[in-house]
Amino acid sequence: MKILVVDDEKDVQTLFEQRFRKEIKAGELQFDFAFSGEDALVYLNQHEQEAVLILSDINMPGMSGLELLEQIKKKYHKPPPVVMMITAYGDAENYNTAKQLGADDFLTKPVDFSSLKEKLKDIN
Amino acid sequence: MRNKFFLFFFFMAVCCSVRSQENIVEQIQLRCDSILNLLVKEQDEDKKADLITSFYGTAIDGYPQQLLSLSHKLLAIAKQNNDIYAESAAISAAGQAYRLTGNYVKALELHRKAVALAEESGNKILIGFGLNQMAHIYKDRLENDKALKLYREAYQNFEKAGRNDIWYACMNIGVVYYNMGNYDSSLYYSTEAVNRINNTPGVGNQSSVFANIASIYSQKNVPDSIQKYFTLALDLANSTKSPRYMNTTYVAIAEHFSRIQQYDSSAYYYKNAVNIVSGTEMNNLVLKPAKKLTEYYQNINADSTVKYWKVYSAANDSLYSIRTNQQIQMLTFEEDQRKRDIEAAQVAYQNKIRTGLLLGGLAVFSIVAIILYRNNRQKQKANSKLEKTLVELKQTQSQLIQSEKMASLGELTAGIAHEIQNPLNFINNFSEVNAELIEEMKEELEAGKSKEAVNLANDIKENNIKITHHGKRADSIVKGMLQHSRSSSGQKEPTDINALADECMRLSYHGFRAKDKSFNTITETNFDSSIPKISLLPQDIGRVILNLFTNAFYSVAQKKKVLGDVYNPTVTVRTSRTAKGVAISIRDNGNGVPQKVLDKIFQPFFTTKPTGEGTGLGLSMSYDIITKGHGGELKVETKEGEYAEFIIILPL
Repeated sequence: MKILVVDDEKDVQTLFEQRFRKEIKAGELQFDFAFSGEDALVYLNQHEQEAVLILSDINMPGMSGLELLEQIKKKYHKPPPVVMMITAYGDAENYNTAKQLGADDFLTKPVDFSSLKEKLKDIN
Repeated sequence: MRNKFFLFFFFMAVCCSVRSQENIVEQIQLRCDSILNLLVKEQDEDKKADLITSFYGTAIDGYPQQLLSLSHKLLAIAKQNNDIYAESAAISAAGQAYRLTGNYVKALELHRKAVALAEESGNKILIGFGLNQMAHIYKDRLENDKALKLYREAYQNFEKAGRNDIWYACMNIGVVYYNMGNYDSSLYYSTEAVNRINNTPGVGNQSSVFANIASIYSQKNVPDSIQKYFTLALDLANSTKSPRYMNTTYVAIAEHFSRIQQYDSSAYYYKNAVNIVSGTEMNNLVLKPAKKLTEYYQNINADSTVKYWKVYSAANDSLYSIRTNQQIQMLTFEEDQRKRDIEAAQVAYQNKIRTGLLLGGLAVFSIVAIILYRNNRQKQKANSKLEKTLVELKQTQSQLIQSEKMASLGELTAGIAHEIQNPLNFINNFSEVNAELIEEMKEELEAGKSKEAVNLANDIKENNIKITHHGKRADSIVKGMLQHSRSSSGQKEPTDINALADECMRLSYHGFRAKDKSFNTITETNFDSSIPKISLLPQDIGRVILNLFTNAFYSVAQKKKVLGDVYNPTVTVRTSRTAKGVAISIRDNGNGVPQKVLDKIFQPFFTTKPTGEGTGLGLSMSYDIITKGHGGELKVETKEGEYAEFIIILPL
């Protein structure tokens, strides 16, 4: 399963690679990283239907995670991939907006990776 | 027959006269004295005036000497009691005395005074009487118009007072009309006078009014009435024993006989008229009868002619110069009086104007004074109000400054939360990963795979560096927050301006995004790393930079709302060294500052934000912090619709 992680903080890549190193080694999961909403769209256009799951931050310079979510769900991909939002803002407003735009899940920072792993298993 | 009757009457009269004139004068004096006693005690003004006219009811004005004596007594009373009534009466009496002796100038002068005093008293009876007495002078001098005018004024005053004293005016008007040849009018007024007297018993000396009526009937040729009224006149004149009244009556009778061409009888009465006043102070009264007698005897008796011519010329000589002089003096006096009246009127007018001007000036002055006083009062009130308001404003200002701090802190809190969650995310997860990696490393080492173990150790080390980095990041965020909320310590400390600006930008940006989720902007930094640490108040400068960033983000956000996708919001922070020190510039490509509000943006409470969104204190506080707190400059460069760049210059 190919997962695209979108976040403006580059340390996220290291974190995910280390957190899922076993799964990566085992070939269960593949990770790609985009450091802005714009990059993510470019990636998705280039690798159509490759990424099954998208994990995106919301607060990013430029295109925000919510804008990206909207683009993905409405315009680009059929069938659309599963999109999970990961944000430091766990407030109701943010959550509702994300759900309205079609987010499949909503995670808050700090990310609980064991629960994330459980969710990925369900998708698989 | 008629002659005989008159002759008889005359003899009776003369006999009585000779015998009792002294007694009568004595009686008049006694009566006047008793009136004087009443006058002293009398307080009622009208009754006083009545008492004054009643002096003349004693027939005292048949006796000039007695009149003068009465005048002196009245004057004494006037002085003693400060009595204007008595004073007017005294002067009027003296005036009458001088008139009777032919001194009209003196008389006129006195009467004017008497009238003036009467007018001062305001009593109509007194005024009427004074005018009446003054008019006699003109009546005597046959200045009929003047006499009539004064008598009429007297009449009107008496009429207003509603008194029978009006008979004096009626009688005299009757005489003047007779002198003017207007017998009907004369009869009307004379009859009116008689009627009034009939209604008022005890008022004497009416002989001249009856003599006048008789003369009118003589002119009209009504024999019965002539006899009747001459009899009445003679009777009354006799009763007073006054040479003056008798003379007047004799002359009237003589004229009547002359008119009906009974010249002997006429001569007879003229002789009586001459004799009765000869040797008295009223010598002027002989002139007319003596002249008539001279004419009568001219062709009959040379001796008598000479005799009366002598009497006439003696009187005339003594009076001629007086009369001539009097004529001149009268005219002069009247002219002087007229001038004096005019001058008095002018003075009065000037005084009136002066008083008016003075009052006007005073009024204006008063108004000005009142206005000034009120202004002063209002200023004082306003001042105390202002002082109070100032104190309140100062309190409000410090409250506002605090709330401005808290407001910006509130804005930042959400951003800060986000900023802390991010490093925490790394710290927590990397440390967990490290724990796992250490386990794996142990396994590798136990398995003797030292190369894999070293790789794991390197990963652990790198992760640990990240943990430390994000830990410090969280630390600086918390410190920044604390610094922002703390009041200024007042202690300047060496500060890395680049780090401060970067931190503020991040705080502000995330704070802004916390409020507006859809907000996004490109942030660019351009730091001059050669800038040394500057001694400044980090909280204060941090607050300024935060504020400038918040404004910048607000501006680009507003523009984004309008322009949408075609617009790329960009906020740039740049530091550089300049001749004046260090410049920190925060530039946005938002809407810029309109030229018309450019000079107001640093004023307290000025804000372009909708009510409730801004306190209007941000920039004014920033300005104070930079200029007053640090001796620096805060400038703005802008083009409306394109960009705004705020530049802080801090001296090194």
